[in-house]
Amino acid sequence: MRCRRLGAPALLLGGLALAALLAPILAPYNPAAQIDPVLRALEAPSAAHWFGTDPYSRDVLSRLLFGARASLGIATVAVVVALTLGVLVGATSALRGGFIDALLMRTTDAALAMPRLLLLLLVVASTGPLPSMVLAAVIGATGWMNTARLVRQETRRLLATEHVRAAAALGVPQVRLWRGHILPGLLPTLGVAATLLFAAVLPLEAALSFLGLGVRPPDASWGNIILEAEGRILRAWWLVLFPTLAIVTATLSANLLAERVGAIYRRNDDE
Amino acid sequence: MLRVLVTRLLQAAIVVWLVVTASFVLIRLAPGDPFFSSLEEPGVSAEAATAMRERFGYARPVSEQYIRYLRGLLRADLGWSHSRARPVREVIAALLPNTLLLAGTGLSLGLLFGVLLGAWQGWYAESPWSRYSDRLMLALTSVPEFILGLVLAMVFAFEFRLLPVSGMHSEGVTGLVDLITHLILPVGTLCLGIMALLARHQRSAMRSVRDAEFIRAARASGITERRIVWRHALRNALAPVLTVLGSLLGALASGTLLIERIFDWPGMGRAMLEAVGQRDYPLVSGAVLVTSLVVVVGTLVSDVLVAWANPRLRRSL
Repeated sequence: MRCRRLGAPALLLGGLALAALLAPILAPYNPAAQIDPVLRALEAPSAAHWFGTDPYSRDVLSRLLFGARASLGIATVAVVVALTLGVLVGATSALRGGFIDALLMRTTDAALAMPRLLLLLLVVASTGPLPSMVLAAVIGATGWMNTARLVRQETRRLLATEHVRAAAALGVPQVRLWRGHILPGLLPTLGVAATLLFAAVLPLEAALSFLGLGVRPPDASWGNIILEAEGRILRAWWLVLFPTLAIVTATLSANLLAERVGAIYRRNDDE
Repeated sequence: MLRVLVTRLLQAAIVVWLVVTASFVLIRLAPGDPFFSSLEEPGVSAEAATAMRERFGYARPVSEQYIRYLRGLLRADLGWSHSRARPVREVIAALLPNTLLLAGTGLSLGLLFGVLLGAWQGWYAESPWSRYSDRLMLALTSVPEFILGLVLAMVFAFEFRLLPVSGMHSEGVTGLVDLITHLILPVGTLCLGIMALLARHQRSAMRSVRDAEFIRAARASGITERRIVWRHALRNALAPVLTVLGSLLGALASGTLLIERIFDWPGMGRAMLEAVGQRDYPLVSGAVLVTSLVVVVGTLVSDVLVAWANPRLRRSL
């Protein structure tokens, strides 16, 4: 019953993911093709170009669809990287305790104190433009801290439960103890954390691409389509509106999903 | 309290050192130095290139450069900005007040409106308006700041021509009124984002306080409703919200960077982005460093203030 409330956001996210996967079939044009840069640039939405064209006469709908691949793909990889790092740091911290725990947690605090966009800016400034997947990894590597804290806290809580203490008393080695008895208990928390990370990473990638430091043209991403509207937002509102709808839909769906799944687990815990 | 304070200060110092080192390492890892692109051109002789590198210390071993960099920092010497032909310190000193004005105004207004709105929403949590506006705030937190800025610029500056969209002052005009009209859109963007985030925290805090025993006790003892809301409920509901404040500053720094870019605000963020484009490494790392420093100190101060205001948090600081 409660799961029904998850329907709308899950469906929206799924729809966007599907659109990204099927981009080559769905897209009416080649996303990089400059159809007629002189006569057909910056056309308003029409039957031929549902979402209009950009300043190079490229079809915005096609760019949006292929942009979904870049934006959602980068976000997904970044979430996986952040989650993996977070779990590693958090679990090590909780299991080892003592000096290692203190060291890792202070490092986490330090990393948390640095403004994320500035850190990414610093990386991109020193390396130059990055391939999408490297960019995704770097974005992920700047976002593991909250997950690490969460995993540490949950692992410590689970370590004190009876079944884990029983397993430890029976001599189950630590790594297996963690994988077999603690990780399953962590999964709900991790699910919510992943969804929240996703909602945080999407706008970040869009912002980087908007600054010209993320996905490089001619490749499309939701952020760099908006960049093409700079200086002519009013004449080319479709360049802002459609990517914005895509970004907000995906982010909002992820936020709603995280909130509702979290609420369901809390209620289950209470019962 | 004192011991905690000292620990936190030490932590902050370590964070600053990490930021310094990270910015040094990342910038020196870059392929080529600032003269790489400009001096590899045919017009520049190899001797001139070497001489320039020598002069700015790029020919030295990295360890020596690092020591020199740290020593320079102690004297507040952030190096030389190649693109602006001025010391980085001067560039930043000229731009930092503009950025602080923008970020500070945005934060204060966002805090004020967020707390008031959230308190109202939490107190009347069952009313449809409260629920609708909560959904609206959730939607608002899902809109990236730079898009919010673009949309505001689109509506107010281009469509209705009500407000200026770029810079701090109109051409040749000085004065407070002009500055304020230029501030409205960028500050409004920052303010909306912060307000939405805080209102959601404040709403749930206010809601749980509203149903607490001590409010019922206050009501039973005949205190006026207005006094209960302002003196009893809001004060208690404020504590969990203010703890968010510390973690907000990093996001505020990132947001300000984007807002400066969109509204062409002459601040550190815009300078930083220009410096990235021009491979002006000392300016990039100097700006990142100063921004991080402001964030770290700001977080520390806000944590201490919050702990001072809320005795329950003092031990966990």
